[in-house]
Amino acid sequence: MSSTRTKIISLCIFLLAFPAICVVGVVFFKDRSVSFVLTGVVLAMLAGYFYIYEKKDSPAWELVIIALMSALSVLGRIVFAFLPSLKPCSAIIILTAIYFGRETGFMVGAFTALVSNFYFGQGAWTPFQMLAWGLTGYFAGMLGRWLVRNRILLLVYSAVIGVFFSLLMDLYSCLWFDGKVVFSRYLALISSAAWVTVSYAVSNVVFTGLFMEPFGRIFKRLCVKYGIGIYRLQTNRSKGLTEDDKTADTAVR
Amino acid sequence: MCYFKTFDPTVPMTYLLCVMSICVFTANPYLQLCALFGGAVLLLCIKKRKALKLLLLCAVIIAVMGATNPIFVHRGLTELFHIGKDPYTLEALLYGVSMGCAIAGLLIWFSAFNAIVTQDDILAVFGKRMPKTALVISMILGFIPKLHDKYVDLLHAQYGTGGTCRKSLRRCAVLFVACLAYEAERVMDVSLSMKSRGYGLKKRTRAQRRRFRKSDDAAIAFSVGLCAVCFMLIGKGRLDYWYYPRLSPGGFDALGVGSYFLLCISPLYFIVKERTLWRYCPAKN
Repeated sequence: MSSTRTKIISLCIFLLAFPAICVVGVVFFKDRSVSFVLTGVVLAMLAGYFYIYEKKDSPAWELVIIALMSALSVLGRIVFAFLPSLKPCSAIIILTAIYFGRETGFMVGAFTALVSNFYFGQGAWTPFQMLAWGLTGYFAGMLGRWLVRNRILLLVYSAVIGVFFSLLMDLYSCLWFDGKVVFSRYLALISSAAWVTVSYAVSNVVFTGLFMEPFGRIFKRLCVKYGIGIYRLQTNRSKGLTEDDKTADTAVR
Repeated sequence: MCYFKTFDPTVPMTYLLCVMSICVFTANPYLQLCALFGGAVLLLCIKKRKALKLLLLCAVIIAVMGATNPIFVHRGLTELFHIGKDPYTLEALLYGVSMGCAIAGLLIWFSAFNAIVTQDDILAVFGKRMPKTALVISMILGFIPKLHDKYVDLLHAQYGTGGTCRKSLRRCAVLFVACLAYEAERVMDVSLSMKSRGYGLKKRTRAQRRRFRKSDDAAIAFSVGLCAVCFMLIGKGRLDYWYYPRLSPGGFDALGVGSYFLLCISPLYFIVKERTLWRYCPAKN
């Protein structure tokens, strides 16, 4: 009952907020209307996600897992600071998302961006970073069924999502500057940000490759032991439980 | 930044939102100058000499944006010279400067935001409306030092067994995973104890130590009022400014620019007042 109400309200927010943002942008900021509309849409999307999350009945384990994994990826930014421009955040978000579902993944991404900016400085980039990392987790959770089985697919996904978001950000800043895509500026932005894009993709692949197996082991054990995440159904059916339990146990030992 | 601590945390956040909503998206150079001036003075008052570095960075950004914009955009009628076949126009140059000013204003005001609004303020503001989000954020802020302590413990244990002190990706990754393995089990037990104490059965309650006072209302009304005046004038078109094809002649509205200038420099009132009191009102005995 309450969930349908939440859905209706959030749908209304989306349906009303987007036209409202567009109208305000066009009326008040004529030359810069595009930049206002883009920022407004990103903020509205985040607000919608957070509203749904806030109203949803989520169990205690979900909150705790979100908090732990976000804290871990913030720590990762500090621990691996001695390697220039290699950050494990995306890898941790992707791995969490494929084991605990897409909504958990989204929230881990969003909170990682928000909280790590408490340490590294908030800025106008915070909402975009939140949305980008959140969507990284969300898509990983959607494809989780395939990604959890196929390692090569997982590595490819993590590389592609890194490059994709860098290109998207460049497109975004291009739109922000001119209100339309000026191709020469887009090329200049891409080439000036090439090092960041490459290092982002490389760090995604490296850390996903490093963490894929141990994180998988730990998460699998948690899933089986507490009956959460993607292995929940198996536990309920008590089919294949003994085998999974055994492998998880031996793996951790 | 103690000058704003007498207010409710909503007040500085509303104020900064009001200022930034105009200075980032407007194309009007007068408003941008107001925002840059107010922000720079505020930042110099708060951070003293540390602010100079950021201001220098902002100057560089403005210069670079101004110089490079005409290379990509060839609109505008006043041609300065040609690069290859394409004209390098004055209007595009000034438009680039204005874009640079928007970004510089954003950087300066967000730097002030970081100095004024702390984690506690954000939690205090959102804790009431979004209890779950606030809970998760405070959990994360609690987990980070714990995880870091665990990591340092493991690192020292590894040194103790005779490992080298050289950091490598592989060694750090092993320790990192061990951290997760330790903490994950402990944290799941936390969640079980949360559940057994009835998490999610009733609404979370919360207590706030401070009440909303009249001065808070007045401060919020002040910043929202001035912001609304600017928005109305912008909506009426009296603060419109355009760069192409020729620079627009108008765009300077005394009421709009004046009220935005007042909005931008209003924090100085508290700083000046506090310093004057400190300087000229010594204790009686």
